[in-house]
Amino acid sequence: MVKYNFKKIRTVPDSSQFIDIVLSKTQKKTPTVIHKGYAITRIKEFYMRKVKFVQQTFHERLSMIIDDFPVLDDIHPFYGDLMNILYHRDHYKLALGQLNTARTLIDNLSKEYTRMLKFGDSLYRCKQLKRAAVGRMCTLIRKHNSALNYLEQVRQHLSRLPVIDPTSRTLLVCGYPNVGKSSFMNKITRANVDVQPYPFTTKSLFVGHFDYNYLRWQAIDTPGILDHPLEERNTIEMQSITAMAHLKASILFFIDISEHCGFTIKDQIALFKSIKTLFTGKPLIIVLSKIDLLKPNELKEKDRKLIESLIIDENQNQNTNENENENEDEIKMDVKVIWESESGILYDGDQIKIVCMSSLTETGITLVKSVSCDLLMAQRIETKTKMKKMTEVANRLHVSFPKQRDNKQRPPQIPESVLNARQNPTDDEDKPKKILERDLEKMFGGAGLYNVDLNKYFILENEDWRYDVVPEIIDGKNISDFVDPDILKRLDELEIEEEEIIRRLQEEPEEQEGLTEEQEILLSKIREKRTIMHNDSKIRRRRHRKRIPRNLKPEKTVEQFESHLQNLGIENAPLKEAKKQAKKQTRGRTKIRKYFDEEPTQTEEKEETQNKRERSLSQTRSKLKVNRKSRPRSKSLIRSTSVTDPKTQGVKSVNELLKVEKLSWNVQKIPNKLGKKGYADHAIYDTKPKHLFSGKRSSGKTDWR
Amino acid sequence: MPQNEFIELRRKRYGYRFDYFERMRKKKAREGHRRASFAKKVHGLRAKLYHKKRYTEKVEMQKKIKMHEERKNKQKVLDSVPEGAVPAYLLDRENVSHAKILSQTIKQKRKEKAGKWNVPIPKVKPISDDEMFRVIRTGKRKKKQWKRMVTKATFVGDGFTRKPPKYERFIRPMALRFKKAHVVHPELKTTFYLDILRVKKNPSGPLYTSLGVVTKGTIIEVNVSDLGLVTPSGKVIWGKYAQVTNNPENDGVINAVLLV
Repeated sequence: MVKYNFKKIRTVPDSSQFIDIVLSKTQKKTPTVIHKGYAITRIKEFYMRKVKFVQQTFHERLSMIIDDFPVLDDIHPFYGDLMNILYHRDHYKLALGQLNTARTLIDNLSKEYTRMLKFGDSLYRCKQLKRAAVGRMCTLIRKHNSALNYLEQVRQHLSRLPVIDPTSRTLLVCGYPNVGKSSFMNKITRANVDVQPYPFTTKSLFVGHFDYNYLRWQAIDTPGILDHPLEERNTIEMQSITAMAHLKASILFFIDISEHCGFTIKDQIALFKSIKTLFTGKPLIIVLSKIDLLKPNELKEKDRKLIESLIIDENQNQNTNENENENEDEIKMDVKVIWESESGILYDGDQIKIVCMSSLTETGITLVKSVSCDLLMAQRIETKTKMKKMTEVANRLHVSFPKQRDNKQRPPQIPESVLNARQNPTDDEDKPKKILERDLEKMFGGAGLYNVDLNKYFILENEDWRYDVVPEIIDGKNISDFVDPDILKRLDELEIEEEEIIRRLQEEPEEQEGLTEEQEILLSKIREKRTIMHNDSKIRRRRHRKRIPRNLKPEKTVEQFESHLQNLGIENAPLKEAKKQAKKQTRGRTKIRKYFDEEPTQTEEKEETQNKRERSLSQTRSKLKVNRKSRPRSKSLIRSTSVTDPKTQGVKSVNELLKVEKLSWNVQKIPNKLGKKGYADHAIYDTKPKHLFSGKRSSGKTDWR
Repeated sequence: MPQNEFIELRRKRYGYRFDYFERMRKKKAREGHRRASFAKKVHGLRAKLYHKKRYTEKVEMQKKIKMHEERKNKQKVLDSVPEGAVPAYLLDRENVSHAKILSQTIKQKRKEKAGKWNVPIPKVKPISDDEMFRVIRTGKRKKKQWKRMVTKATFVGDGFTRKPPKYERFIRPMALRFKKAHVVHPELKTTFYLDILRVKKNPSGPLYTSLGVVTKGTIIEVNVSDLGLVTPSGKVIWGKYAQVTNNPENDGVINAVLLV
């Protein structure tokens, strides 16, 4: 269902504000710096953007206004008519229409000027065109100042209109001015309507809400109306007329029978007759108000006749509508208003009811409320069942009855005692009533004076203890900390648990025995080995270890290799061979010599001759070169070097070493720190460097400073 | 009082807050200080707007004060009749000074000399071809430079059809074509939005006249049939000359003065 809430309409600025908003927004949201040295395309784009932006913001704001305001033809006719009365439909439509045309005109303007800007050939011309465009848009809006002002006023009024839901359950209170409509309203709801002893206190519609039958109802208080033709009615009266005409509500027509309002009953009846057409098809209750001043049975015969005539008319109408053949006299006879009715309902017809009440003494208020609510509810349900939708729902409903298996009667079984109790309810009164705490409180001076006796309900071993004084603290200790009724039981439990644990501990070590001594030794060996390996790998994989250059690395000896293999459990024969050979080997130089010495004894003839030739040719330098190429380099042993840490070189004592280490650490401090710099250490040391913010900024200077 | 006007309702029922008037008085007293501090603090566009508004307010205020002030300069007491006074109907009209007559005749002559082209803007800045036209390069290699585009506002008649592009030397862009002008009637002091009939003369040259270029000072013929002007012989005038008073290419509209 559509909820009518007009509070969401946003404010409508007046024309000067509107222009300010748009222009300052343009200033903020578009670039502002342009130079004549720029490329002409750039200048054109700059100004086109400005013009388009102004148009866009105008368009947005205008469409916001147009969309926010409700369209009179779309909303509920009640609200449509109400707005027509309050704000004048034509004026309203005209104002919105004007804004709509202004919007399209602005769009066209911007289109035209951007087209012209495309042919701009200088900054001056582009600027002039932009200026003209924006100026024309602003003038357009300025011309619609009155429309904007009007809409703003409408918005303010509209947002304060009472929120009436035209489709929900409603009671509509109407009648002559000063007949007690508002006071009735104040009695049934919390609307807090102003009540004054003069007529026309209520000048607009008021809404209040109340609950009846677990449902939410709204009551609408209308301004009083006088009996004159529709054309002569003023705005205040027209509001109540619209409410009566458009709301599907039960109508409470108030008649002041005491005539204290300043209008005679005859006048009031005449009004009812003149606006009767508005009530067709709605439940109608005629409320005779202010019975504290004049009781209905004290009414004059003339006035009684008048009120009775009302009913007759109504019934006649009804009957002529239904079937015209009925005898009218017969119906007249039917009318019987019980003027001395005790219940307050003087006449209870199908179409019309007459109820009396007084807001001052509050007699009959709930009666009026319940009668009118029930009537409306019945009607609403009836219309709902007649609706098409209802048949759809009804088709889906199915009430099933179980099939009777025999003709036996199975009435509900009620015990005889209950039946007896139902028949003789008086029996209970003889019994003494149970005295409740509430009664006691009443007896002993009411709330605040009477103290509830809690000790009364204590469950104790000895009845003498009931009112004993129980101290809370003794010897600086809280008693409740030490009170435990079954402390001994707990102690026993604890002891049993302890014993159990001890027993279990004694049993356990026997189970764990397993390893023999040999195994123990092996295990220890394995562990030792593992720790060594672990440490080795740790050393190897150190992250920041000192890189030892290859030539400084200690050489691996054969013994080491051998022991390593042995550790792995590998017996290696080829190694032993190699070892033997290595033992035979003598110094490299001698080997070569030997090689040359042995030369003549070599078996291969060809090689011999070659070498000989070479040797013979070795006198000249060039030949020597060739010779060297062919001859292998003499083998020499690598010079042994002592492995020393560069740090410790030239350091005499341990103290000095420590000093050196400290110094090196200090040197590393700052680079280390910089290396660890994170986002949190980010700092701008100079937010406004002088050289970037001083001096002239002629064309192209900004980048070069 | 309608529903939902809570403040008014409360005031009606219980009156104003006990310190309402005191607060209002103080607020009013502090208003000046508040405004001054704001005026000092505000900067940028807001400041510009604010100060302008405030300035107009102050001018208004001072004018009002001045209006209500007692006049310092003494008013002439009109009651006493000066000696030798002559009633108005006996005032001597013959005694117009000679110098005045002379100056008037000179003025008259000058006016006549100016001839019939006595227009509101007699002098117009000449416009060079460079400013008027933009060269358009054509041809496959964009080598030919015989085409021109008019960069000023133009009037193009209804019946105009473009030549085939191959032979079209002058292009008048659609965006810069105008059909109507805002014409001021100098005697009636009113402005009408009238159709342009043709360009009578562009002072910068006959070429521009034939092209229909509308620049400042151009004489255009406008359709005044709506104004209902009548010739002495009783015919309805429907075409009348007007001179353009603005730079249409800069303003996007043509403003003109009717030559009466």
